[in-house]
Amino acid sequence: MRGSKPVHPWRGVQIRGAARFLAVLLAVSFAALAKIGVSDAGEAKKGPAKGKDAPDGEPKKEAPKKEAPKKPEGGKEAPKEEEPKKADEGEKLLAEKEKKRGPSFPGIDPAFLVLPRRGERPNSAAQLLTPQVREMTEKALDYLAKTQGPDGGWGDMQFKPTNTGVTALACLAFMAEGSRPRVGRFGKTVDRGLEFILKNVKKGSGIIAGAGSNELGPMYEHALSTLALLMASGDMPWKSEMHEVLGNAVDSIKKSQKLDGGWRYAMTNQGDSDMSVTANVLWVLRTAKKCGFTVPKEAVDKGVKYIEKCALPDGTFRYRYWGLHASPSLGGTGIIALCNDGSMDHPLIGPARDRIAYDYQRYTIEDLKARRYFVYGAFYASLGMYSCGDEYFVPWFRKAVAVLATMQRKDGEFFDEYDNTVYPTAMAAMILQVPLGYLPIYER
Amino acid sequence: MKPTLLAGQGIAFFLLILAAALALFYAWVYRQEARQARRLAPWQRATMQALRIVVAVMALIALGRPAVTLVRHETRLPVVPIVVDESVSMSFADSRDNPIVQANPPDRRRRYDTAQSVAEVLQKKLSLTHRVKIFAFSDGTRLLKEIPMRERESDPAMGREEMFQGAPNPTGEYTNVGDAIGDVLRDLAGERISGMILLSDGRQTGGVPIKEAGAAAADARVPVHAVALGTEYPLRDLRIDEVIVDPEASLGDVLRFRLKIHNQISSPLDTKLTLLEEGQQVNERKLKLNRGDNMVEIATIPETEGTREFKLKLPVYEDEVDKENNEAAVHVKIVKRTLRVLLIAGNPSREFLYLVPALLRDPVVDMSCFLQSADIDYIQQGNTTIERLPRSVEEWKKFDVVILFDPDPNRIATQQVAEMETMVRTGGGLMVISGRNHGLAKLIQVHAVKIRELLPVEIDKNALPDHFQYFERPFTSERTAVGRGHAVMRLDRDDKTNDAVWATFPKLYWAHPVMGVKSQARVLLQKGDGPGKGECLMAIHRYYEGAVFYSGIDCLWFWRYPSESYDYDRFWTNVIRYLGETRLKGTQQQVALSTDRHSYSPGEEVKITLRFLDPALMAQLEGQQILATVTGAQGERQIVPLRPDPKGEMFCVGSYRARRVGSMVVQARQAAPGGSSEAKPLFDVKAAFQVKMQSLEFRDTSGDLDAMRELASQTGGKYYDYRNMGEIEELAAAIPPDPQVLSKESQVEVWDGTTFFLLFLLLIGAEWSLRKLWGLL
Repeated sequence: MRGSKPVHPWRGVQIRGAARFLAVLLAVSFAALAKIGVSDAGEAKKGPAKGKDAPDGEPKKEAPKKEAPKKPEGGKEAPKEEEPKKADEGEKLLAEKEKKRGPSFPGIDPAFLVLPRRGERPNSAAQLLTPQVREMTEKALDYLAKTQGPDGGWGDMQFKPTNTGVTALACLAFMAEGSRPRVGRFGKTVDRGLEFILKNVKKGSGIIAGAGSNELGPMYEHALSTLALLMASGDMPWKSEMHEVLGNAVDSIKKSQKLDGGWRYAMTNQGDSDMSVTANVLWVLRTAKKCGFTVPKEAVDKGVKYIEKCALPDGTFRYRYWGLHASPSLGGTGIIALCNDGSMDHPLIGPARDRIAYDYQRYTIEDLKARRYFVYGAFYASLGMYSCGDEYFVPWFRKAVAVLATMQRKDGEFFDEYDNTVYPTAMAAMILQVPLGYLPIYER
Repeated sequence: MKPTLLAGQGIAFFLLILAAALALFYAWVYRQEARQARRLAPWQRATMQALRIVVAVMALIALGRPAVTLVRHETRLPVVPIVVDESVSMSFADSRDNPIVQANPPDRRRRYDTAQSVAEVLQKKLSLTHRVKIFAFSDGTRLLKEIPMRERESDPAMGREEMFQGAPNPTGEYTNVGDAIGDVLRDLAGERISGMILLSDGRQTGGVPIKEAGAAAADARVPVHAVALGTEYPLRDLRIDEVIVDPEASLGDVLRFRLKIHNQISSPLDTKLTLLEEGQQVNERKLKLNRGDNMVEIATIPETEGTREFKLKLPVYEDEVDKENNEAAVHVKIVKRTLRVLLIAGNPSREFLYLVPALLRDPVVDMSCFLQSADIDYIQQGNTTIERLPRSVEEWKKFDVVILFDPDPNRIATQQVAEMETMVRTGGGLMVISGRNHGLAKLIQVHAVKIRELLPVEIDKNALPDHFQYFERPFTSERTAVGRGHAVMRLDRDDKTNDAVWATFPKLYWAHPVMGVKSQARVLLQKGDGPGKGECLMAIHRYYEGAVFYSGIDCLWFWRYPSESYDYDRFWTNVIRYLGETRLKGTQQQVALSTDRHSYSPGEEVKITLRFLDPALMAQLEGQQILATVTGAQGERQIVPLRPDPKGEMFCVGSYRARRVGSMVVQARQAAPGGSSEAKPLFDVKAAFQVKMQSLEFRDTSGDLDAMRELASQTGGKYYDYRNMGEIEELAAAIPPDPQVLSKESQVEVWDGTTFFLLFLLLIGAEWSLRKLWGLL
């Protein structure tokens, strides 16, 4: 643990009172600067290239550079690119037709994002899951399995002894491998982790957070725990209370929506929101809707509006809408929050996607690694980029893996600047397992 | 001298008596005369005796009929018959590689033109040394021309027009090569045939087999020089033989056209296939065709309702024998229809979270989801939202397919299950997916009667799910033989790719236990290893007019790797269409009716095949009589029984003898065993064919070069085809010009001449005169 008082994204910058007005003014100035290429404090010099911005203010999509295939670090050769398999003519036509139609949210109050079908059988997943990626994943999962507490939960350097949020992320990492509660390689581990989460459900409030939760409030823990339980709820028939627990959890989220439309750490409707928590909560709410829980459309719409306010035209997001500058780690959260609006063609999704793609293409492994909360940002970016299709996801994933490969320690763990190792490892494991396609939080 | 005295015993006896009588008479006469002869001088007596001896000798000679044989020798030029095929097939274009064809103007490139050119070239040479006779043949042989001999090269030779004046165009209906060889040999019997030149495509359509005729020619020591016209390939032609397409298709769904294209242009042929809808191009596909038959597919998504004309066009190539057959038009009725699918899920399991978008993604599926565990005020997901489960048969029948995904049996009424069963019984589709939440045992416990009947598998009603059990041992799933061929399990059209795709799917951890499989059900997927190896994982059966699909796996999302949702979605699309199309179209998608050809001559046998694409349907019809009806243009009908293939393949066959000329339609229509009479038949499929008088000449347009080569080899002749036709002049030199020498023997009877007769008369007369003169009479 470094520094006297670590600042975590879950503990956003607090600017209160009269300073807000000044901050808003500064934010507007920064937004204007962003249009001419100054986008991110500390990284302004490395901002988007000249001419990248289109006259209408939207960044132009830069054609991804074709790099010569590199031998991955670790000395292992990447599998040879296979010829794409011959596609069925009819499937291809349907895919083209659907591609024209674009992503859709069918239904009266839709929860499921439906992306156009593929015209050809893709082989990108097999290519992305190189032996190196598989090895990294195995090591990461082993590390998580080893660090599970006797109560079934996981803690972290900043979240001791055990924390429902960290536990939820660890459970999701095992679920991404294909395990379900009591079924699969890590069936027991997942089962114990979920049991821990359920044990930490506070009666009455429905909040899922125990000891070791964030000092500023348990919303992250609550949201992530709710998400993990939602993902497992259909596969835990022995937990008859599951629906009630989740219903209460969703209700407590709904109740704590703030007046500005967003959410923050504290599970109360008082105070200001931040973009990171709001995006996470919106994501959880849509997942809850998929699982049969009633989520008022107005609540989601207000939350999305809050995210829109945090967005800058260059595809970056401020932590708070009146914030001074954008945080590069919030791009992915922005995308997953905005698509709750009901479409993938929200005008802010394109710039956000392009910005992430640009960042991962432009910056070196060392640059990216040095970013604050890289793994955290990469996890949310993986969610956003996956929904944008292989065109964006594949190059992004390769670069992300290259960065993660340099970050994994001997025992398989990943870390952040505060020496947390469990939640970054869980997030990294989920990133590495995206090509498997076994975790429904990744939508296409 | 040949004695001819005794021609027969009777005559000989008579002649002997006569000779004896004459001898006695003459002896008596001369005895009488001897008395008077004494007075003659000795020289007179000697003269008389000499005359009498000479006469007697001459008489004896005459009686012996002496003869001499005279031999006369005659020299004649040998004959070379040039036998030209004048059947219709000779009007086909000859090989473009033939140098003679290349030398001819474009309007004279028929096989017959080549034959005329060859005949002209050869007769010019041969008419100097041989007697050349031109014959033409089809079903008979006739002499066209005898070419006059030429003394010198400079003498004008006969032109081809004159040569073929009697047969300017090939019009014969048959090619009887064997008969022609025999006829010519007979016609020229006695002539020295230096060689026979046969100009034909060799495609025999009747008469004596070529081999037999070749043997006769070999016996006669007549080498047959075979000049083969055409090529071993059929004529240059690119044609659409068959277009297979559903007569009715869904608006907005893929409409596939399967075409049988026959390529006789080149191998391979890079070409393109264009699909037009009402004259507007809607798709174009590049093709690489092999020589012969090729199956290709082109698809479109129709966007307009109604009966639409679709035209499939291939480019027209130079020298094609038929330029009209490069396109085909079909009419398809485009109807707006969707498959109404009701998904009833007990809990939002991970499979549920993947299944819903998969169904929503299918353009033909109109999905309504009912999540039983959802909040009471929850707005259910789906293209069409429902607030509650159907409560009457009519409401259930609004859905084509129902998916029961590990439903909570207590949240569905027994009455509703009974109504659902009626819906399946009358042609609906049902998929039952078991899960760990409620399991099928509980479902059977609550709704025993109907659910047990509906399921293709036997489930132990007491085997309630053990939620405290851990499933950590993986097992493989493998397709059964039936599963490998079933449409539902086909994730790729190519068999090899399909197998490769199935091989990539990871191991599973949980499957619902099954006690057994019903007799008429077919297992598609089973456990491949571990405890319970071979246990059913997926099975289907036909339930009256409907179908039920059982899946004992609740984690098909494992199939999302390595091809993401591609194969996963495709599997669900296959299942839904399999179950839903039963309702929409009968089961005609599950059967295919065809005849072995599209056109027949009267008297030929039409082989009718009813192919079952669904093994469950075949199982359902086991023991049932399946009939096809052949209906002619005048409405006359004939019933043809279709019998299952004895080898156990998934088809029934029958045969029909084509009798009348005209368009015929064969139809197979079958009701479900035990189904209601007013209900839709299980299938009602048709296929059409033509019965027409057709020339055998057009059946195979290739030249039978092998037969021609064999004929030449059999008789010791030379063989020419388009490859060595440039050397055809050498053939004239190779035919020997040795003349025919004719020897004529004639017998002349020496006594039977005027001289002999006059001498005989003179001697007798002299003897008689001297006797008179010397007073002996």
